[in-house]
Amino acid sequence: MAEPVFRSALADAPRPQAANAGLRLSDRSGLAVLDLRGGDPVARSAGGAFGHGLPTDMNRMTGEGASLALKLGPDEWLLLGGEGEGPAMLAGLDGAFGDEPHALVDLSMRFAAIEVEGPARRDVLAAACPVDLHPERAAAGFATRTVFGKADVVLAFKANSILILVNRSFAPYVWGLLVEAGREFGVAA
Amino acid sequence: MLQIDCPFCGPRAEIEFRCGGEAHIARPLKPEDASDETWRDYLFQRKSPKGVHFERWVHSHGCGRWFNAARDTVTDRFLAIYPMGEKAPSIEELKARLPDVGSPRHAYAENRVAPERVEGERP
Ligand SMILES: [Zn+2]
Repeated sequence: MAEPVFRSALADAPRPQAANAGLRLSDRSGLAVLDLRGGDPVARSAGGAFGHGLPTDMNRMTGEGASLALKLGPDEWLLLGGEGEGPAMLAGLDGAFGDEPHALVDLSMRFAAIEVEGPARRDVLAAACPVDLHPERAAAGFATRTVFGKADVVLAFKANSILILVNRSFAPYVWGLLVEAGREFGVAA
Repeated sequence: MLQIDCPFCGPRAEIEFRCGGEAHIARPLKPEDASDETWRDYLFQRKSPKGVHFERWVHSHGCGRWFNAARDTVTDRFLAIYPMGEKAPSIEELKARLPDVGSPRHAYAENRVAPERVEGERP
């Protein structure tokens, strides 16, 4: 059987000229995304196998670098990893839950990922996102599912950037809207 | 922007939510014995009150969870939010929580008193 070939949904997206801009966009598509559903015991078991504890509070994120865990629902976590690490993460979590009912699905191929950096990142996101993006409310460690324009997105707030996960087919739309909103802040497409 | 208080995420913008229509509609327990009238009522008959409406909402672009809400269809004000499977609060309970429910502004919420039309005000 032929190996699946990964091609970013943003491969053909126009790359904005970043010089002097308050905004920098990077295509991070390809990172591993696992969806974990289950109760709190499942989250505790996953913590050991995943390498760090999963968040217990709603809309919180733990971890650092590429290895992140987001609590998006009362029984739903997204586990992120580096590019192509999905199968290894699945294998690492295999058998970690004993008899606890749970679901663990590799969604890596479903998502495109965009990292937004620069001092204007919150302002650009606010152009089409209803969440309170004030640095005190959406500080590092905040993560939620919401909308950006007409697209369903997951936002993960890191110390110096915001990671946007979006379904592949919506990725060019979200990228284009970010570039459009960024024009006010010096982005030239 | 209307904000809805998700029981899991806190106050969020209305556009993250979807309304699932009237709440507390139970499927006939013995469907094989249900009459045509029972089926008709279960499938199609819905309330459309001018005032308090008990309805289901889902935080679809958020935590994905369903919950029940009591909403005033005149003012769009959410009077109560309560878990799925829980009994709807009575108008009296809503009044106790929010003193102005049942005042002239909310009198017709109880489907008893028609609002007084102010001269010159648009209907
Ligand atoms: Zn929610």
